Amino acid sequence: MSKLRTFVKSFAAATLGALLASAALAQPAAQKSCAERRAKMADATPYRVATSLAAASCLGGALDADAFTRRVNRLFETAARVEGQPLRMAIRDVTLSEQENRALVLAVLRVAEDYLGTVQGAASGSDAADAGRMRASLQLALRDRSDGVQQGIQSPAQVTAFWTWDAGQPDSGVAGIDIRAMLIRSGCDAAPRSAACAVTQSTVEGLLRGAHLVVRAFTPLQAAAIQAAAARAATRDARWRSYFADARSQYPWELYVNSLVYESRVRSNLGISGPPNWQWIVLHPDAGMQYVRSAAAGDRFKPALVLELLGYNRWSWGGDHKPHNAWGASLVRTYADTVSVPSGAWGVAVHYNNKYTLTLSRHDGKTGILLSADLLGALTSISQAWVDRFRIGD
Amino acid sequence: MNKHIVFFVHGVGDDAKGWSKDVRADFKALCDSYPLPPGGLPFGELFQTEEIFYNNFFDDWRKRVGEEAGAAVRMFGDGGLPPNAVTRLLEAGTGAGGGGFLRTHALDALQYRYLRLVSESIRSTVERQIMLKLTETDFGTPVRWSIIAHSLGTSVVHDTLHAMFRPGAGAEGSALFQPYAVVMLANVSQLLHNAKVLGEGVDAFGSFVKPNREPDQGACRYFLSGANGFDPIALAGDFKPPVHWITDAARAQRRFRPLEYKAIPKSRQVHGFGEYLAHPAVHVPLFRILSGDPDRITDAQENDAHAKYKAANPLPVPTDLKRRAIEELTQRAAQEGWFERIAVWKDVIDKFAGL
Repeated sequence: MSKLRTFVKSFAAATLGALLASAALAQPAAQKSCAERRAKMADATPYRVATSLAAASCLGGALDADAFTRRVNRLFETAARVEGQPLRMAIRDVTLSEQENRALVLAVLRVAEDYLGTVQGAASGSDAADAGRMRASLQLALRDRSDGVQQGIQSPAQVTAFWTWDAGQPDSGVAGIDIRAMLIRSGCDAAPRSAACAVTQSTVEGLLRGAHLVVRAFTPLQAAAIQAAAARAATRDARWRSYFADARSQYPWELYVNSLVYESRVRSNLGISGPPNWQWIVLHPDAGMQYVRSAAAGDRFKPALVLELLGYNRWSWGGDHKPHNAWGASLVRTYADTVSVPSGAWGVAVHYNNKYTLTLSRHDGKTGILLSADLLGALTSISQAWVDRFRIGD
Repeated sequence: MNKHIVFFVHGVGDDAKGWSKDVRADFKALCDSYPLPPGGLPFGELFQTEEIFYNNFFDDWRKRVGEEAGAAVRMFGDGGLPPNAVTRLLEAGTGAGGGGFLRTHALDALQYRYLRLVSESIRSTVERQIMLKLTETDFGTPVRWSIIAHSLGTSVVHDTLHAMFRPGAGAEGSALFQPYAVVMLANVSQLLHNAKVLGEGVDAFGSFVKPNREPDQGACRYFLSGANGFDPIALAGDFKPPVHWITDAARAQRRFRPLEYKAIPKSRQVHGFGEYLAHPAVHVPLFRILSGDPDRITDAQENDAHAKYKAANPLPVPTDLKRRAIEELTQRAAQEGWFERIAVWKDVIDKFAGL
């Protein structure tokens, strides 16, 4: 709430400040840039001028030196500012509460409404009626917003597309206004252009500016939606990466089997699903060191291959989006180059943390222990003395 | 001031991070090759191009399996203690890490189509890369972005966008940041569509990835689909949506643009990403739409570009060996069999494509 209060206070200050000092605070480079663009289009049609200026952010956009646009710029800067820190305007750096977002949307909509009031006042005849219609749509959006109605539920004016100008679709208009028709109506397509054309051109540019300010008013909602979707996507992607990097590796046929099972489980999900927290282990070959205490000395500690026939591994996702507390087990067949005990044996493997595997096997009534390379390494690092005793046996 | 972000998504093959550098540079050069209209913005002020890369998922997994299987094989040396069947399993694992079996291009497409764990992870990484870039845009100015996908990338992008933007749970608020234009070059999204991913009975012509002015009726404002009549993969993809695919209003507003042409570029790479973009039938409407300026390139300039392209890329004579090989593949691509159409992929990539 403190941030909201700060924002509201800053909003009032920014509005007043911008009104008093709009000309003095205008960015000369930006002003010049838009003015230059306009000057270069001296021979272009008013429609071409308007659409080009709109595309160049000169009508309600970042380069526009208009006082109302600058008020809007100030509002966004104020909302994004965090005391004691340099201004950062990237969406990822701006954190606003729902109330702050709502207040910002309303504040910008009010500036746009004020602006369209001036456009309507300066327009004449049918142009004024068009400006009035656009302003009425905006007032409707403002009322819906003030009442807390969510976007898209009530009037079309709540939707950004309603206000977005697309020069490729002049007939579909912006906010229901066909600006090309307005210009033709005033004789802007005829040569020489009528005196009324200049007035209409100014009105058209004003309407495009007003519409763009409304589009900008909705950008805090867009930013919030982007932030939320980006956060979900980042979590999901981090887990997928971990699934392939940190969970037990999968041979191609295991990937196929797990894909089939996974598909059956996420089939009813809408959207992109996260990775599973489990995996079936199927015909998975692995290597390790086998110890059979009662085997002949040369056969006691030998490299061995383990074929996991069927197993299952499961874990939970931690806050770091990596598998935690993973446990699994498999039915296995082991193979080692031994003479005093059978080279092949049946057994059971237990997996921990997707890394360590301990296998117990039966060789004609004799028990063998098989350690995965990772487990052996861990044990080695824990106690070399213990490993020596393990190797030699009693 | 936010620029229009244009993402580039690769197709199949050995693409590495940074794969798009040349494609994006050529794209800019193409745009800059047309004179700016009065008041028009140069490419650098208008666009920000970004690369999307998803092959590392395949590569990291394959490398890991290959290394583990290789270590097990080495442990036993040439003696080959394990039974043959197990040895073969291990060899399959080592094979996965190198070239061969799982690296063949046709199988890249099949893996994406049939291994849900793979395809879902790819969609996830594509989504994250898009969203990450969108969060880097300026607060207070509307975000506008488009995406250009090629070959297998068209299927990846289609499925990802459908998941991100179709109305319903998991897509809350997504109507507020939909892409402006979706551009599919050698579009195989219908060929590879999977109703288990898109939803029961949903294919690429029934998905939410279609153009409309209203965000609740389509995932993008414009949809462009490029197909070279000499590209067997585009022919196999056969992206020809039915009339009812888009609304009457969207049709009247020409929000779907089939960008069709028939040419064999000088490089003979009829399927190449860069080759698609280089053709005026593709890039002229593309630049007009992306710039939001229908007069960005005049009709006269467009005609001139076509003439220059034809002069620089004359169609080989019918007896030309490469042309005959291409035509043979296009005939195979037009066959009914689904697997046959997929199988053509590998030959095309091996013989004629690349970036």
